[in-house]
Amino acid sequence: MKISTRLKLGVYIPITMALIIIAALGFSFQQIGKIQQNGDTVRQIRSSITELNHFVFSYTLYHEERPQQQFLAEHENLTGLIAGIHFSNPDQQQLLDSIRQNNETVADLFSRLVSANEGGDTAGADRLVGLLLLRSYEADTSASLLRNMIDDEIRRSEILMAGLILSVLTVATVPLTVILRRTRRSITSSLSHLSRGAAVIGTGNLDYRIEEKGNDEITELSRSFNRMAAHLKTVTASKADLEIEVAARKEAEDELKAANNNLQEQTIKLEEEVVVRRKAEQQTQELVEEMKVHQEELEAQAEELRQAQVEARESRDKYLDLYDYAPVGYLTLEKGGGILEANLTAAGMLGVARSELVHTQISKFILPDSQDTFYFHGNQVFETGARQKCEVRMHRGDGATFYAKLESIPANSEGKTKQLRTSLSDITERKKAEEELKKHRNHLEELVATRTQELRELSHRLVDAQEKERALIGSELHDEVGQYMTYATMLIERALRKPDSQILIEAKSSVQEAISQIRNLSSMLSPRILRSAGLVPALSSLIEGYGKRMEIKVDFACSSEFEGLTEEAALAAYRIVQEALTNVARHAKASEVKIKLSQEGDKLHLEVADNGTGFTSEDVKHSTGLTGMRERALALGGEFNINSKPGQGTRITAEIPLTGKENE
Amino acid sequence: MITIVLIDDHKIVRQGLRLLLEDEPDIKVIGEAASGEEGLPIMEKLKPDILILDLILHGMNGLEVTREVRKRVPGTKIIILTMYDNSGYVQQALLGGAKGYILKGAVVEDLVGAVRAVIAGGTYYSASVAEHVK
Repeated sequence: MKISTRLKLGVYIPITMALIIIAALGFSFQQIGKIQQNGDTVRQIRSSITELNHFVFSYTLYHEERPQQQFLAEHENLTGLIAGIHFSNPDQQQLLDSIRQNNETVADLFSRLVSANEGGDTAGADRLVGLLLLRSYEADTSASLLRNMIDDEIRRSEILMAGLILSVLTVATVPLTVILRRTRRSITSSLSHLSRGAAVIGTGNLDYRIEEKGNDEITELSRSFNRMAAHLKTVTASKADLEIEVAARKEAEDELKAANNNLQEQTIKLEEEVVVRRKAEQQTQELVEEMKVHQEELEAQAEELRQAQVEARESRDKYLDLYDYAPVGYLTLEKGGGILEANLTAAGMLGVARSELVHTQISKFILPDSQDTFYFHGNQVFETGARQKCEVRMHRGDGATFYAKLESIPANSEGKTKQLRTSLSDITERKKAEEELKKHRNHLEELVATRTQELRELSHRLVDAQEKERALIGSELHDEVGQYMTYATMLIERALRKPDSQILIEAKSSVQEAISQIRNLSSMLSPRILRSAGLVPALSSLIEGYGKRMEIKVDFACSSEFEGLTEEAALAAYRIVQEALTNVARHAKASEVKIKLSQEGDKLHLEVADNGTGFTSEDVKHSTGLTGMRERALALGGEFNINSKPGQGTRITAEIPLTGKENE
Repeated sequence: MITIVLIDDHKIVRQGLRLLLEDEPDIKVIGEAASGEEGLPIMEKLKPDILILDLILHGMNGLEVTREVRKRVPGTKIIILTMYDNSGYVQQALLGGAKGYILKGAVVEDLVGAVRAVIAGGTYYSASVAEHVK
């Protein structure tokens, strides 16, 4: 081993040792510090217990509010102290638990003592004071024991630390001593060999060789000595050769002199050249001047540039303001959806501070049902390289959701990873309006559908009614007119064979009956009287015939002549009354009907009321008669109402414009 | 004496028929009814020689009454009296077993002629009906 290595070892070992000792000391002090801290707390606990005792005494003596308050405060302080420490040693922890229990008991006893005092139970109070002191004493004893244990622990830790340091010192000193001793011995013996050898070589004995043992620095020195001796021997042998060499050198010296002369000549030439060079230098100087001018110009240009830069910065600031306070949110997104930049508006819309927004994922703000839309949108922008729009549902940092319109273009930053520039606008209001509109449209469509259905049903029922009417006319003709005519025919035939005036009179009355029935039928089908005589006479005639046939009392009141009443309006009024009377006869079982006709402004007011059975709206849901009446009134721009309840009769009213005309 | 029952839902028609038929000394109308339901028990009770039956009735129609009468009172011959000379009605009536089919229009000759023809074991149709019978 080399001496330097050994010496290095000699230095490192003590340093290492010192480090170990420092570390051990640090650790130990920390441990002891902790223990001492616990010790301090225990001391505080003890003094707190003593304080508590003191307050108990004060309270027992004076029964005042103040010691009571102090006791409670101190008790709270003590509870805090106990809660604040924890021991790893189970014995210590047990003592601490005992203190805690005693403390709780003491508090409990104290509150009982207070209530006993307030209740005037002196005997009980005395007993409680005794118990209290007993518990308090126990707590104090535990705390004292705990304190002793902690002191012991500190002492043990200190001894341990001293022992540790001692053992480290011992362990480290032994190898150090060994290394140093061996190093000293090897150096001493090698040096003595070397000095002896050097003395021998110094006397001229160039054949002597110094012993080369080991591989340390001194051995290397010995080796060098040996090489030097060998070399010296060689040099001595070549002295004769040297003399020859001296002669040769003289010759060479002459040559050198000649060369020197030559050199002087050349020097003169060189001086001339220097003159030339100086001139050149002057020219260079001029060039430098020129350069300086250029430099000044350049500096001026640089100043301009700096000015331009300031302007550029100002315009950038303006742009930044525009960017930040634009009414639309702007975002720069990387391809994966990470937010790279955002303006303040965007941060405001998303309800997050801009600093938090940057480097988060935009998808965090998009509701799950819109994620696909956004993903597709991003891809489309990159595929087409053109502006794309989409609408998504987003939520703010505070959880509120809104509809947003996104418009993105690919950012044209060359050579960088792909980016999106996206504008963000809140279109919740527009969406709401759209939805409202949609709702309205649906509602309208429903109305139209319902109305269409109603009209279809009505048309169906009208066809049905027409069919029924035809059947009615048919049976009327067969059952009434036909039979009377048959009877008359028979009578006439009989009279022809056996003339009999009585039979002929019978036949005549039968034919008259048939004629009267035909007239009724005809007026029912087309009330010609309406056209020839007008509404009021037509109704009078209708009502008269009806009253006779049906044995129902009909009261007809009319207060106007209805000038300007059109034919359509008159027919509608007539039909409504006719249909109403038919309904009364068929369903109402009424004994009396009141019909009122009056003019109100430019409208004809019509009312038909009976005292019959009445009905519910459900009963007449599919009544062709009622629908027909209503349609007649509505077709002329009028109104129609039915008022009926079971057992309370029926009242229908219609209002028809006098000039009503079917708008076909 | 030829006995006859009338079924027609119009009283005055029955009245006229009775007037015409009873002019004949050997014909006697022994019963009348306004419907098949009313007439069938009378038929079973009186068992007349001839039933003069209107085709259009309330309740059972004339064809149904024809079938019932054929079943219950097989001895009675049936003459249909109607305002309709529709061929469907005529053929249905004859298939049902009616022996005569006359129209209510000009009746006296037809009526008495039909009664007599049917009693004699033949059939009788009004002129305008006859062409439907072939």
